Amino acid sequence: MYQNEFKPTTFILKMSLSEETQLERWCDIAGFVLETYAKALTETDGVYIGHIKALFQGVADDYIKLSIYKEDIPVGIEVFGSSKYREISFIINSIVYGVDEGLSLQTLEQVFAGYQNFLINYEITLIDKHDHDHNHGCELDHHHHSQGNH
Amino acid sequence: MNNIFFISGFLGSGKTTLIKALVEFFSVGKIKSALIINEIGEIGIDNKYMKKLGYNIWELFGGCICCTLASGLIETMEQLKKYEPDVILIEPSGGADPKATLDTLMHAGIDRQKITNFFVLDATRLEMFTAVLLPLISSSITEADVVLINKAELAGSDVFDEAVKLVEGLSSDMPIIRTDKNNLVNEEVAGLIKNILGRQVVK
Repeated sequence: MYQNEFKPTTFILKMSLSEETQLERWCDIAGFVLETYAKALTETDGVYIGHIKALFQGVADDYIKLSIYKEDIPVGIEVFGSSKYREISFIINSIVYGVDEGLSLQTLEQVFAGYQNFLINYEITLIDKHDHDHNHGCELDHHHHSQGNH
Repeated sequence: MNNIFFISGFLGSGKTTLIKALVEFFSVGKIKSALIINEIGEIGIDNKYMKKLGYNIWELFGGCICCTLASGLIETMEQLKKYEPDVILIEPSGGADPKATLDTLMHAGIDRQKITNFFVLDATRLEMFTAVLLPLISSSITEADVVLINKAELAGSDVFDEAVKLVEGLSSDMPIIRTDKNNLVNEEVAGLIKNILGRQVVK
């Protein structure tokens, strides 16, 4: 019902580093990215976070779950697992009042643009909305935005 | 007929955290629970998260539980009967109107007395609720059987008191339980569950 006001935007955020890295380090990176994104979105008056969630599903039981519901409260992080990863892929559901998909994507990209010394390769894929009124195959449309730092 | 715990609350208020704590609590008490989740967003994160934790869940996806997925909810409830759960936990999306979903359940013949509507109120975001969500929050509180004022410690005592006033202003005799993010199934919540289920629950 209130989805009309709090519009969900879904991204796949793929990040890679030059070497295999522990999940705790990935938590730091992803947590920083989401916090910066949330703060940037809410710099505009009349923008309110419903919930921004991100999930990485690794091998076996490994996972990272991140959650932000207010820009001035640190990101909540849950992590499990001990494997190392060179590349990691998060599903991000961003449900924010007063922000459309385009601005949401632009803001997430600006996070990386502002911190190019991260030495992270990244790719952001915006998952477009299904047409839920029609009962046929998946019509997901994917828009890719990426940048490599070498 | 199973007990139904309906876990309502706005996005990010702590519904999934409460459900995770309840499932663990039930598991220790040998209580069979089943979980129905409805989520907004093109990919369901809570569903995948719960599955990653090893829980079996029934997902209602591709719409809102209070409108387009109302019939799906009833079908799912029917499918769950064969598993004979003691408790069915329903988590509507944080944008859903609890009243519409409760009406759907009752129209399907489910006794309202078997449903306990736990409304999770995020005390840290009272300002936003009153600014842009007052109709939803008011309706949700009015429909609740108990209100958990969550993240109370984080919000501080003044804001917690404001939250209590908000709830009491809308429903003067509403049971209110103070909870914190990391202790949602506290002694008071556990006691309430014990009363609802009518039997000893070992925490």
